[in-house]
Order: sequence, then C-alpha cells, then structure tokens
Amino acid sequence: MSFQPHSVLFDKGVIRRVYERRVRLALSTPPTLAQVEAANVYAQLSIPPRRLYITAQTAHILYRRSPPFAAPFLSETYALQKGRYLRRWARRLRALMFAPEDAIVVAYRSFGIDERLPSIGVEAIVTNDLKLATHFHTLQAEIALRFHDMIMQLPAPYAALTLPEVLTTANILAQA
Amino acid sequence: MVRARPAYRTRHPGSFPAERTELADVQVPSAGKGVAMETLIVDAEGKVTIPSAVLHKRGLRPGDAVALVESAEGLLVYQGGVDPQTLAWWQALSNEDKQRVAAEAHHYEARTDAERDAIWNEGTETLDADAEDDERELPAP
Repeated sequence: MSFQPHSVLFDKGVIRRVYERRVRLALSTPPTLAQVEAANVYAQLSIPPRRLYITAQTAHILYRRSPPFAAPFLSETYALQKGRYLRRWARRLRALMFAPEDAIVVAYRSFGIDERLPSIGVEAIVTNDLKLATHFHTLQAEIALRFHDMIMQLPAPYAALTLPEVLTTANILAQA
Repeated sequence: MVRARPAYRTRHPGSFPAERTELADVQVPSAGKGVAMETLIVDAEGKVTIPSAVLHKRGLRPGDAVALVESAEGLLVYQGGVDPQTLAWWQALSNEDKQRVAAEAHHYEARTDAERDAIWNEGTETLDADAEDDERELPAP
C-alpha cells in the first residue's frame, strides 16, 4: 500500500464483515467475497505500531456480542470518543447529502478523540461502503472548503484539524 | 473483462475448516485511481496467463486454486484463503471455545438479514445539537 497511515478508523461495516468472516470459519461455510476482503484488509493493517480505531457505536455493538468473537476486536482497536464539534461537522456533511451514519463516521475521523494519548483525529477511514467513498471523493473540494470555513472559527487544537483520507477495502488490497 | 483481484493467501499449517468462497455479496473495486489492473489474453484453449510479477507478489504457485467470479461488472480472478489474523484467532481458541463459537455462529447465521442488520444498527448515534453533551474536549497532554 503506497499510503501507510499511522492510525486508521474502521467503518462499522468493515468490522461487521470481519466478524462475519469468523462466523463462517467457525461453521466451515464459505465466506462471501466482501467478508474475505474486509478480513484481509483488517489483517494487513493490524501491524503495530499502527493505531486501529472504531467508533463508540461499533464498540457498543461488540460489547453486546459473544466474547470469543468480539473480544479480539475490542482489544485490538480503541473506541474513539466524540470530540467537541463532531456533531456540528456531521450536520454540515449531512447538508452535502451524506447519510447520517456516514456523516458521523467521516466526522469521527477529524473530531474523534483518543483520550489515552491524548490525540484528536486519525489519518484514514477504511470502509467497504463504495457509495460513501465515491460520494466523499466526488465532493472532496466542497467538503474541504466547508471544513476549512468551520475550523478557522474554532480554537486550538481544533483549528489545526485535517480532513480524512477515505480508503476502500478494495483499493487497499489493490495497492498491497 | 478479466481483472486480477488481489487478496491475502496464507500457507500456515494447522487445522481449520476447508472452505470455498461463495459468489454472493460480491463487492467489486472501481476501475479508477489506485486499482491495479492487468489485461489477460484468452488463448485458443480458453486459458489465460497471470503475469509472473503478479504471481510472485501474491505468492501463487503452480497448482494453487483461484476463483473465477462472474459479477455484474465483469469477471474477477479471486485469490482466496484465510488471512493470518482470522487464522490466529481460530487457532488460539480452545476446543471448548470452538464449540461455544460454533454454537454462537449457528445462532447468528440463523437470523434473517434484517435481524443481523438490526444487531449492527444498535445504538445509532444522533446528530442532534441537543445530544452534544457527550462530546468531550481534548484532554491536555
């Protein structure tokens, strides 16, 4: 992969496919291609010291699942907390026709907080949602403009935040 | 169109269920920026030759199986296998855990698509301004 992010946020859909790939393995039934693709990307990116993140919602779902399946994800990733202004940015993304859930994920990329370090934002979002990735790349210039307009009015450290790189699982594998 | 579609393949020893890859739920990479594509020529016998650089890069050896996937966007040459992370997870389970995992997996797979979607849509976050109380300031380093 030409782009080697130090920190990535896995979209919920990617974690779901990796989870379901393990379900299929446990049942000795064939995985779908989307499951294989997600699992391969998850494995490829799970190389220390790269920091792996999920959203608070994904963590909430995993905490309610069977521990033998969910515990590895919860130990290998860290759930980003919602930083200040996250929803404000997500609402502006909604105005650009992002689905509510997609807007939240993209906003987590810039305004998600890792309280351990502490740090805000991650370098890339990894998604298997081609519609989200295409929409983001199509509107990237407009998104950048609106993002800049918003953060320039915010105090430090928010004024120095950056926009996400949105990577699809397919593209990551193609560049491996 | 025949596309070389890369994926991990591992040769780790160990016991894990034999698999093939089903053709449902196919996601096809866009042919745009960043997607490696190779043009393969079908010969008179219907064979195609994968370039040696691709074989080397993907660890493919004579006798290895790849899947030919017919999707809406064309034919995909798909290299399957179990990725190292999934394999490590499986191998780390005790026999007792494997039984528990299999039971849970049966339960999960018996659900309808809508039921599985509902699981993964639990706790959907709201964008409402009046929900911003849970937003946090970045702690001081």
